[in-house]
Amino acid sequence: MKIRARIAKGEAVRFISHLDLVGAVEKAVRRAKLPVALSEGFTPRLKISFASALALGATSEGEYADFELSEPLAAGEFSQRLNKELPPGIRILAAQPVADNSPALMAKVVAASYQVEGMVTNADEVSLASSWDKFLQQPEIIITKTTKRKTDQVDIRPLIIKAQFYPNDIYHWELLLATGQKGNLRPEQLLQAFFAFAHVQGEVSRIHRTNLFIERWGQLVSPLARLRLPDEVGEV
Amino acid sequence: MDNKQLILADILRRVEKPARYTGGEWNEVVKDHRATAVKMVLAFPDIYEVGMSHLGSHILYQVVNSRPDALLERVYAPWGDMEMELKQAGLPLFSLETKTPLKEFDLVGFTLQYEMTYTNILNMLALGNIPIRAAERDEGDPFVLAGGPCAYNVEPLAPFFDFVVLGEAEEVLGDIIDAFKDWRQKQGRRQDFLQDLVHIPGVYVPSLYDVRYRPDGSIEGVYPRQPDVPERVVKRVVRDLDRALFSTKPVVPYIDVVHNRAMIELFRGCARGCRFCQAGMIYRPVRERSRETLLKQAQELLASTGYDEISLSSLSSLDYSQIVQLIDDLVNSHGPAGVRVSLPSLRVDSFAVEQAQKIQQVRRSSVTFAPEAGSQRLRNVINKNVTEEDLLTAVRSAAEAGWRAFKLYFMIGLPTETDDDVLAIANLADKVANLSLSRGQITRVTVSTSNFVPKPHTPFQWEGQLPREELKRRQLLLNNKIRGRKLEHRWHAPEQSFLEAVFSKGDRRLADVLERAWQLGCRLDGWSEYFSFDRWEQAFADVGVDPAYWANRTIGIDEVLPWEHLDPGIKRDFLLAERMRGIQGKTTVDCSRDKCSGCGVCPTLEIPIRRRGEQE
Repeated sequence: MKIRARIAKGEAVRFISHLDLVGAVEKAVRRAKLPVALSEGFTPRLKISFASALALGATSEGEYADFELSEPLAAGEFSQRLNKELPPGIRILAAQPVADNSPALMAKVVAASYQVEGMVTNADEVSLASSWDKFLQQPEIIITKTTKRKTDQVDIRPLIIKAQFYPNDIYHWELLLATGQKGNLRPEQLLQAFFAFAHVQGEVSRIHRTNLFIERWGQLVSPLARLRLPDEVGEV
Repeated sequence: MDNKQLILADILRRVEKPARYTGGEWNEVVKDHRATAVKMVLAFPDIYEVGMSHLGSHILYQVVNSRPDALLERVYAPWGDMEMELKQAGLPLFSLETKTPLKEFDLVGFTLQYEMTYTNILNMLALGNIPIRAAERDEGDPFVLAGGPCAYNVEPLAPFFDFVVLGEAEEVLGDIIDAFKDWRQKQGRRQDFLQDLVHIPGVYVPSLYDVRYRPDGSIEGVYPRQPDVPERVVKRVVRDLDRALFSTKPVVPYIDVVHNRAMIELFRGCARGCRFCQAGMIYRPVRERSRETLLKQAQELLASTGYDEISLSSLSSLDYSQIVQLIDDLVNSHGPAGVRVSLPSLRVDSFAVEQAQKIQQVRRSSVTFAPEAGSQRLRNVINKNVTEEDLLTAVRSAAEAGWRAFKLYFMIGLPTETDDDVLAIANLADKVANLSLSRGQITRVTVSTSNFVPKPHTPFQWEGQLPREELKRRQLLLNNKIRGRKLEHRWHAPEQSFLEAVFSKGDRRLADVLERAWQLGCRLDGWSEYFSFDRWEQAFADVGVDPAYWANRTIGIDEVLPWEHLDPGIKRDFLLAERMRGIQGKTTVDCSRDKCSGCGVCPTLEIPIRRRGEQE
């Protein structure tokens, strides 16, 4: 049996890495004595697979993980028992059984939605808003991605699915970005590119992931969306 | 969020591994400061990842926090980036639990684990807005105390601490907290509390002693300044470990730390009697926990933490009298849930390998043995009772069990060492690398050599360390001899070892050097990113002292040792006799298995002499 859970990473654990989050959930599973299956081999591991890594410093209400169970358990009891043993800041928001043969979440996730806050020191909101429009109107947006081994020039324009800028007291963005194996764009990469484009001194101060999305029949839906329930289709 | 929290959140976005400073881990204890009488912070003078791996700190955390009238929070040395951010933001160093500045605690307790953390202590005090010298603190300041193995020669740090705890702190700390409450009720002055502390066994108040020196620079004596101050402070120990509180609900770190696992403590002390080893002397006598207690504690620990690994931690865990049964019980009861049992170190014999195999440590990439010296002669000198045959047999059984890579630990510069002894290390490594096995062969032998540092309260406490150039020559001599594609040599540069010798054997005159070094920017000296020997040389020069006096000089047996008034219970005569036996190459038996060797610790502490596994 497999249970898929939606997990929140709150303010209290904002500064732990993705790997630390996984470790904290694993320890909570053991404390709760939940029947999560173990892998074979000399160092058996709990069969838990997370959908997508979240950056250190970011909060989220849209992390997902699949838990493979060795004996059946109601999803409600599963999240109740796990929540009792999770440290402050980490919460199971929802859980439901999924088919045992459902493919790994990591391979299915295609997009993530974010709320982002930032600070810009040397521009007013009007000019910034117009720069933002021009920025998005570009046919292509090339950024340099550096990994340990190489630097790549990548066009990120196709990876921006939806992007809104709200120049209120605090500059605020609502973003829906491609995420996963077929293309991945992190909110800070997008905003760095924008700050450079607008020739401003900007800084991303807060990133909150609101959800992850998989694709079903051409539509983006939450990984916990049940079939044929259009109200659960992700609204961004 | 208030302003301070906003500033902090902003800082944490910029520093490396911010979770070092945020707290909020599972099993953290957060108490209400207004409703708790005595507020203490345990200050570990190294970074979070090191401090969170220290079992003693976890024990004290639970001991103090189990009292309703006291709280114990944690603080670690900030990494350089965090120090800079704190200074720029004008924030004082604060505790993890409640973000309380150090200055607002009643007691600030440092643990002294190794000499290269000393400048961190000054730095943490300064970052906490606490005057670094005890004499400069006044009524509004916390009391700053210290404990841990280096407390047995706390003299180079003496002016920085109000008082020092010798021995196992879990009971002493209770007495100190009680005394503090009494003192506050009496509305005493700062000095009155120090006077009260003098009457608690195991507590040393450095400011109540005068050290006088002879014209040649040696110590004439250490004199109590008042009649009620004891001439010697004898350590405290826990008599019955089964009844002592243990860390069954340790704080579980989010981030990866050095020892990221549950730890049970099988016993304290080690009576093997290696003559270079300070831990083997100061933690005596050997006191075991019963298997029943250990199994119960393991159960509680795993349930409260969710760790998937439990480590059997002790100085030489495989010497536990019921080790086979204990490992079997642990593997049987927790193995099915995916919990592994692990050993922190392996004894050099095939029994050790058998046990390691049982707990499937076989799958680890390499196995480490510590013969410590290359020749039998020198191993006899240091009383490391391991033969070449023991080593080769242990390696062979490990290799047959599947291990193919080995690490061998040695020391360079041990007393009486000759070039032949040094070259014998290369010879031994060759023999290990070329062992013929029933199938396959050994793929890698890493020889790791540290530099011998003479330590107080050991038979070698009088010895001087070899000069740096000579240590380097011997390291290079060995380095040139370790050749071949399977062999690798790693060695420690002598500069850090030299400073360790200076401060482990030092006296109060070095406090000025520590302060100067810290002013010059020395901190995190245990980390190669920060260590700068030039700055240290500058500090010695500025103060006008020659560090070689402490590190390299052999102290005469008629001299007063700087640490002689700090008493772990071992008799001076025993150490001296052991030194002589060592130089003559005579070995001494393990008193927990064989006859009493007369170190004096049991009678001094009034503990019945018992062999391993014997019950009270």
